[in-house]
Amino acid sequence: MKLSRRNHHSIDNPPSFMEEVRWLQAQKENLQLRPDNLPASQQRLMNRLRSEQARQVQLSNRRKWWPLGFASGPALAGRLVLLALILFSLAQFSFKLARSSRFALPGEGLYPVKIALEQAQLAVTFSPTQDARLYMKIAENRSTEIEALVMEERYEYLQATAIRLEKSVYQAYHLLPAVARQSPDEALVLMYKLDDVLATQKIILEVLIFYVPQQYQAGVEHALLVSERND
Amino acid sequence: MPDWQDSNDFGGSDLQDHSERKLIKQAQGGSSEAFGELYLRYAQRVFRYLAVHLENDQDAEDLTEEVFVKAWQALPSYRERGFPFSAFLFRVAHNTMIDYFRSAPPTTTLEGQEISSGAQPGEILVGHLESQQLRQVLRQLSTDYRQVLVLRFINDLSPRETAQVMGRSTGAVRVLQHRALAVLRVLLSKSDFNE
Repeated sequence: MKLSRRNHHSIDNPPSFMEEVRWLQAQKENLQLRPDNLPASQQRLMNRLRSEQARQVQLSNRRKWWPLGFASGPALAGRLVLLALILFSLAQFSFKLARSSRFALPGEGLYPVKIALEQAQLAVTFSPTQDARLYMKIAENRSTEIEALVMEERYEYLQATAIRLEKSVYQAYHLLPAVARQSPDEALVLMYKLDDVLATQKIILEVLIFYVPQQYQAGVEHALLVSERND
Repeated sequence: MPDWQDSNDFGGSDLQDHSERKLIKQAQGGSSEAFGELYLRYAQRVFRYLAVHLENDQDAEDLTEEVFVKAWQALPSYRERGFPFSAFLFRVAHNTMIDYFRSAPPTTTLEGQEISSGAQPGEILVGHLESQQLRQVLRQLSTDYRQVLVLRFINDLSPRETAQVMGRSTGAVRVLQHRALAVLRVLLSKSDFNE
């Protein structure tokens, strides 16, 4: 009897618990939010959500300006790694850019980068000797550019490059007395080197000018004048 | 098979209607008005769930609001995909209640029970006593039995939704429900609550 009763009440064939279910359902009546409370609590909730939203906007604005803001533990470590990766990528990109710009010629996209790098180098030199050496190097660069422009038949940039050459040669010569005051021997070495650079440039330009069309020869002549100034 | 054993014809529905989906989407996009609408739809049910477990209605009212604030915060991560909004909401309610019990031990008082403007003091008192009787009976059940009965028959969730809230299979919920009702029968027969 017991067994058959148990089988009858198995999960597959459960006994009816309608009374218990009805009792539970009837309890709903006693568990009601006060009707007058509902609109008021809805309004209160919406006000809370709006102020929460405003707080989130403020936080995200602060985070925009402060990349490590409010982070701690693993989050901070993650952000530091990210920042390091960004800095590393930037450094790599800058290095590659600087390297590529070394051979840029006037009129090319990377040429302004090359000029900016030269100016940056000048900004971090702190003695007349270093400045004079750098201006000499810049003059050599302009001279090489003039040769390359002629070889590549891009004559329209000759004049502007010759003016830049003149400026750097002038700056280098202008610094020589200051170098001499500190070290006369150093000044002498620099002067000889500058003369040598200009003499070589003169020889090359005198050959190249025959290949430059008449209308562009003024640029090469300008450069020749600069080279001859030390004669 | 009794009608309440069936998956969907008793209690809540697994189908989320179109307007509700729209409201959820708008709320996820930051519309507090849409979320306010969802509050009106679900506040009563969430309140009932909390009120059964808590000692007084005032605490349940306060906590209901808290549940919706937490649900709002968690809403961006909610994806429907077979998990109805009601199940999501009751799960938030359950977790909020656990946090509440951890931070503030429950007390049994009639204090804080504000009298509704539309109700007579006598009605309030009867309602309170009856809800206290319910709490008294349910308190004798294990947590799982209590939860399954409240979700199924007081909150009207379907077995599938109940399973999702409780993190169990639908089959396990059916077994649990059957056993819980059997224990409830014994408890009610011992007392005179259902007379």
